[in-house]
Amino acid sequence: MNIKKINISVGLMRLFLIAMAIFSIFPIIFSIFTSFKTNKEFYKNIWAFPEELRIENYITAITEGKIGEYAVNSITISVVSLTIVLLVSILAAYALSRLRIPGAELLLLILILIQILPTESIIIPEYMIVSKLGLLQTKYWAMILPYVGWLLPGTIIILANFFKTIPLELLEAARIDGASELRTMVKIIIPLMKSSIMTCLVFDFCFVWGELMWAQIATLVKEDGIPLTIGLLNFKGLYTTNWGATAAAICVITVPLYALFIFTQKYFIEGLTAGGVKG
Amino acid sequence: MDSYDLFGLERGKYMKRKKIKKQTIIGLIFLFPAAAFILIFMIIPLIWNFGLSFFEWNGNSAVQFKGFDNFVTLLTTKAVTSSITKSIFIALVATVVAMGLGIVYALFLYRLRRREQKIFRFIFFSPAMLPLSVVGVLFIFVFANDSGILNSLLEAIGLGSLRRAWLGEPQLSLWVIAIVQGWRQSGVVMILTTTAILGLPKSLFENGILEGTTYWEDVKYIILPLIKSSVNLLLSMMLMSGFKTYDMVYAMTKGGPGEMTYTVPMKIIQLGFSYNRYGEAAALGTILTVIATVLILLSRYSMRGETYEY
Repeated sequence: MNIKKINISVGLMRLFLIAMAIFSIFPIIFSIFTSFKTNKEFYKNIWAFPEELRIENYITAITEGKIGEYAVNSITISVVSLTIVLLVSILAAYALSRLRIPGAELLLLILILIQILPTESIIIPEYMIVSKLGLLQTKYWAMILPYVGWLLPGTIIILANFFKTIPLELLEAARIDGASELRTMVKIIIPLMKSSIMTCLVFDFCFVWGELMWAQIATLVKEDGIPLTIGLLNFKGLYTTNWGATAAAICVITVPLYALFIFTQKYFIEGLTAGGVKG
Repeated sequence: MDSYDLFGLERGKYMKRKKIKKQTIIGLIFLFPAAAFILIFMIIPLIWNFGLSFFEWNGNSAVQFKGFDNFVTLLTTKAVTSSITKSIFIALVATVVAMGLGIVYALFLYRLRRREQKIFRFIFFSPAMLPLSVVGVLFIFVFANDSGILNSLLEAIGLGSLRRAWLGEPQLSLWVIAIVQGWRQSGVVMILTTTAILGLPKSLFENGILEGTTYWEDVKYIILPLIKSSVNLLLSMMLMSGFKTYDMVYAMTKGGPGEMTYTVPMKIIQLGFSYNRYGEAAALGTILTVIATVLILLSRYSMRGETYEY
């Protein structure tokens, strides 16, 4: 009797989840379909499968919409920012959790408070600092360096939480063997923390890849170094009625994200569980 | 004999202290790059922004101390106060949508087989990976006036009379923006709630299985009370992300029609970079921080109560 009841309710839950899942992936499937359609085909029936796999829209997006150039910019900005963030935050998190820094707990608390702060509220002075440092004329640094600064607090907190789960005895053993701190870190700790690093990587990549507001401000005075998010919106403005090409541009932005998540999903869930995001 | 032992002890202590000191120095060296970045790009701007809030400055003129004038001007300007109201509206609606959907997803998923869980988790999390601006553009496909998916669907099922200019009417477009924002964030809520539930010890549920409790009783009496701190954290996160909505609005309506869907961050940019009123823009930034903090404190307060250790 009881088992039967449970089965029915699991069935209902599954039904709800399937409905929501269809709703959730529909826009992306729709834009993949649309990206292969001509405009005429699109207006004839927006629901239909594309008649054939035309790549004209992608060519339009890349040649006329400069989506290719924007993609190169976005990739460069992401790779450089993430590399710096990971190197700097691993060092800092290790120091705060496993070396003897006076007031380390207080520093971590301050990081948590800063991390809550909306960066949107400080953009005016941020712009002045970036301009004073002469970064506005550079192609990418006006975006990369602030991104690094903004991502560090959150990343350090997640990594420090992880480091705390590594027994001190393990480190002591390495130190007694005469290994330097850097060596201990690279040889012993980093191999253990694949999932935490992946988690940070996914979060940070999503932020940098999708950031819009600061990128708009940082590229106000120049034409080069524009990332995909701004590119897409410019593009949409130029081709308001060319749905196919807009859809192609959307696919260029989203496919790397799906790929990244498929490859890192396993570590990601693990890392979140281990990182103890408990508030 | 005695003195030799004593010497050894002292030596040991000395060595230990030296080692600790060495660790501190290395630690500070490791900490330096992060400290420099955070100081230059977060802490100094924060302090500077707060200071600038009390001055008038257009970028060229001399900086002039104005006391609380900027705040008074802002809070008596209709366009500014209405942008604050709109941001709060989006924050509340988006948070309800995100928390509701996300927690329901996580609780339902928990009952499914592992393989199914993985597939659904991927699908439900995917919107949260997408840039907000891309989600905005995607949903223009859905809500566009002519040949938008929704209007076409209404037409197709014979409800053409329900066609609306979803992004053209001020109040309606705010609802649309807030719900899409909440839908996008539901993935974050789902994944963090899931990890919180997975972190609960299995033994907690064994008693329930023996006593034949239903899943809903488990949810109500075991799961929800135990993941309260995660829910609490998520609530703050969602309120904050909703309150500072910018990308979604920019992509979907550019703040239009007119300034009808302007949110606080859009107003900051307009004041600063279109009107060169940096002092006022900074003051609005300060207001944004204050309101966000209040929202978070309120959410913590409303969710207060004992937390359980397990």
